[in-house]
Amino acid sequence: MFIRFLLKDFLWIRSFFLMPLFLLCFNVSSYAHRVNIFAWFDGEKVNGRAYYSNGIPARDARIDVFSKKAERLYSLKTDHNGRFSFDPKGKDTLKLVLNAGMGHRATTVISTGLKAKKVQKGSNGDIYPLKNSNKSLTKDTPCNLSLKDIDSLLQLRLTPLEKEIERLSMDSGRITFKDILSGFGYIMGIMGLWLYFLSRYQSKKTR
Amino acid sequence: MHISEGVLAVPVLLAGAGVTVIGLGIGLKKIDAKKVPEVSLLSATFFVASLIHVPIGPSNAHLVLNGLLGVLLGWGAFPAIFIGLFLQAILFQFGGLTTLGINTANMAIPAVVFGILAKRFISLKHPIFSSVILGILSAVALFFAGLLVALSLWFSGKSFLLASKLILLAHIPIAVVEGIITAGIIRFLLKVKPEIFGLMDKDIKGFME
Repeated sequence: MFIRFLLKDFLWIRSFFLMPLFLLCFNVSSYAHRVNIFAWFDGEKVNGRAYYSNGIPARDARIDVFSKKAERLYSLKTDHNGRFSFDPKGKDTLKLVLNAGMGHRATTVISTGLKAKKVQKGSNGDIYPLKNSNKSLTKDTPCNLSLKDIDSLLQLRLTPLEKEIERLSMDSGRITFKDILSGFGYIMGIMGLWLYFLSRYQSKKTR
Repeated sequence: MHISEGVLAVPVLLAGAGVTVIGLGIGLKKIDAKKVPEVSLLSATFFVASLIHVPIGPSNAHLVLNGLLGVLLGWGAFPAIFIGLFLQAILFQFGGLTTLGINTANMAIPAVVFGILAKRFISLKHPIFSSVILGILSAVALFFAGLLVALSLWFSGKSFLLASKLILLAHIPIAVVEGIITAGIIRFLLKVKPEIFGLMDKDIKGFME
């Protein structure tokens, strides 16, 4: 009896895995109907980009920029590469809402993080975060570097980091094979639960 | 096809949730123990179908396969699509939990309507003819789903013309591909496991014999 059941329903058990896996062969690098938005403060500007989960840029998508008090500051569009840039007007927390059409939407909140760190002030009232590490450095220490030099030096150091963060944030939005397999697992689990309750219900009915 | 969270108005969300609850109720009642593996299998198929991007033309659309689910499951398409969408929302962040109701309704209503319609054309004597007709019907079912998405956007205050134009245009290539895939699967099933169509509904058994 049990063997006959297995033979009869083996086709189902096999096709349970085969059919979705066959579909997967079409295109494993998945395209998803989901948009992501990624933005960061870059000096006096805010830069960012919008893209679908497989990395295709979201072109000509609308982005609304809101302040902390939910007033709309800008309404702009992404360029051909899905990038955008604007002047934050001195605000330190901004909410960006991306609308890529056809009901696709994503939001992100960015912050300079300056308030959270509590900037230390020196004895003469300067913003002076190096106070404890280097006592000889004061406001009057002669320094041959202009602000522009420092900026370009920092740019040199930070650009690779920015790129890395961008890559990581894009990777985190990607769908992995693990997600797909776990979905199958959940569906099999739901099927098992469903059959369990059905059999209990039916055995109660026949009793 | 998957509407994100925060796009639609609350009444639209509630209406979608209501329709889905009713559909789930009918679907769960109509499914007996023998049909549960089928529903699960097609739910898994639907779950991965949305990951398959069809790179035709400038549009970026993915398979939905709601026509196939409708033909094979009838009202059972509601639970199958609901489970698939729920897992997509949780694992892939497609759509969202608040839009689960309206998204299920948008894809499952055409599935059920066209599934019932398609049953009239299933015939073992003319397998090629019936699979072609069913393929065309499943393409129409996909268009119908796109129309429902456009309608839900319209009821939430979005410009209907723009949304529907975009959605329907984007789904022309995918509808063609989906029609071909569905026709192929139906042809295969008619050959290998024709009782699957008879098992769905007792009326069809008499029709087929």
